[in-house]
Amino acid sequence: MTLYFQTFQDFIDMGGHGFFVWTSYAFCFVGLLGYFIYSNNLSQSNKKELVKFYRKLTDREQRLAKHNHTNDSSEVNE
Amino acid sequence: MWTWFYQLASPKWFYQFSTRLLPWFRWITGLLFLLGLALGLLFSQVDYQQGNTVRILYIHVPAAFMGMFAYVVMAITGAIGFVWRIKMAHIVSVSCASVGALFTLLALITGAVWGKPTWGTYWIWDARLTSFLILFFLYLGFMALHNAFDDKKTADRAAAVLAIVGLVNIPIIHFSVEWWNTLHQGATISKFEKPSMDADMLAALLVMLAAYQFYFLTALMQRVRAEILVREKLSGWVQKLVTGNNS
Amino acid sequence: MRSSLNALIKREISVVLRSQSEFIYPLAFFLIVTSLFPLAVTPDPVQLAFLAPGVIWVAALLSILMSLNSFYQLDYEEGGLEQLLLAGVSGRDIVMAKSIANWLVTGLPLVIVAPLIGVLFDINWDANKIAMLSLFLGTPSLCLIGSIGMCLTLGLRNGGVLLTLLVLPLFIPVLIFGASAVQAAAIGTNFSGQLAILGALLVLSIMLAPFAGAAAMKIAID
Repeated sequence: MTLYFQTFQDFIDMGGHGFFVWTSYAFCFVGLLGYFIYSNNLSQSNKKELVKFYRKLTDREQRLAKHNHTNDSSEVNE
Repeated sequence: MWTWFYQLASPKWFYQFSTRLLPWFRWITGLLFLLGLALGLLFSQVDYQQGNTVRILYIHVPAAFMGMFAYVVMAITGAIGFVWRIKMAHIVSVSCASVGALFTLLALITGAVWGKPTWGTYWIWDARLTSFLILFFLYLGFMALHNAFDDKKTADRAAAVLAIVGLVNIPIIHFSVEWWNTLHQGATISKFEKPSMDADMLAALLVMLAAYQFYFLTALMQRVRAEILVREKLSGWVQKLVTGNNS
Repeated sequence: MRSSLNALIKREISVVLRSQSEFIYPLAFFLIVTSLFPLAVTPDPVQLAFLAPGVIWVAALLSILMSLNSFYQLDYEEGGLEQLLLAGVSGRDIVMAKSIANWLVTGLPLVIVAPLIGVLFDINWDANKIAMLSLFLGTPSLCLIGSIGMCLTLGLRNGGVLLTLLVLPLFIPVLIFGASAVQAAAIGTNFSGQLAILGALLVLSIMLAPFAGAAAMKIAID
């Protein structure tokens, strides 16, 4: 195991092919990291959506319950 | 064995199980990538013909392999879901599509960038690049078809049929593209042949392949978890998990 | 079995012919698209003859793609498909019958018209014959593969564009071997291999496409 490159400049230069090597590594890095973050955030954003969804659901249930309740009481009054 | 299989088919169990597993997978992926990059960029020798451009292959070859692999996983899980009507299989199948498309796209981009110093042009109608372009179209078709349906169950089943049809077609497409390529370009371009592999190059490639494999599993798991949340929103455990109470 | 398939084919043809002029469109499309190429590229006969096999095949492929819709969409919307399935006709027979009818109404006219395009593009008579033969062997595969895509997109709002996206990648092998057979004939080399593979692709699609199409159709109807 020996380091292939002697100097940091060599490492960046890649024997004259630095542009191509680093471009493709950059694409891969951005692509893979971007997708990783995106798929990780997906759960979080879905959870937020679901919180809203459940709030609506419980609101509606409560409204329905209230509605039924007032109906019941009106029947009693009659 | 079978109980394990049944458990795996339950979204709730998978979600809870993957919650424990996910941090491990992330760490392993990260470490493998670091090791692979160190081996590939710093320690490996270069091919005397290709020079340092050979280092692109450490990220290109695994991406290409995983692009194919993800399609096979997508089609097989789709078929399992289609035949035995297993919800989890469909979720995995659908989640594979975008990861696989990403791998295929990366394989195309890195292949093209590799081609510039090697062939003197970014794009060449090389058999392998062309096959991967078509594979990318197949992924696009799968995702578009799945998105087109309002009902997720219908979407799952239709997309599964498409994935299986695609799986049958991939070898045929690959064969015909290879044949077409040799017909039109003959032996003028044979530069994609494997460079003479030293042990350290092979090691770097294998570590990168493992890193991609774990990346695939991690990203897939994350997508599957997000998908489970949405699909199981009416079941009690998701509500409990999200809102933190059992109302 | 044989007679029921015959009856189905007759039904399909009568359904399509009922909408009088629609079956002419793919043929007209074929002629117009091919005649655009000399305008877009060059009127030079040498280069045109070089382009011709590819142009004929791409245009034929797109015409088949266009024709698929008229065999399925209306039948699906009017409920005819559902009735057939409810009456116990197997989905495979329906897909097979529709593909055969599709080929008779669209594919066969393309085969017949192809030499005309060949003359316009100034390719020799041998290549012309092979163009007909390769279309004869290749277009049925296109109809069958296309029917899978069509069944998958039944009832979708913008199924047309989606159909293109799904089906074109699957058409590629047929396109490659079809066009290359004509090319080989035009430069006077052996073309029997390409034709044999076109035949093999046809057998394969006859065996497999009805299954996939029927499965997809069932999903759309359910």
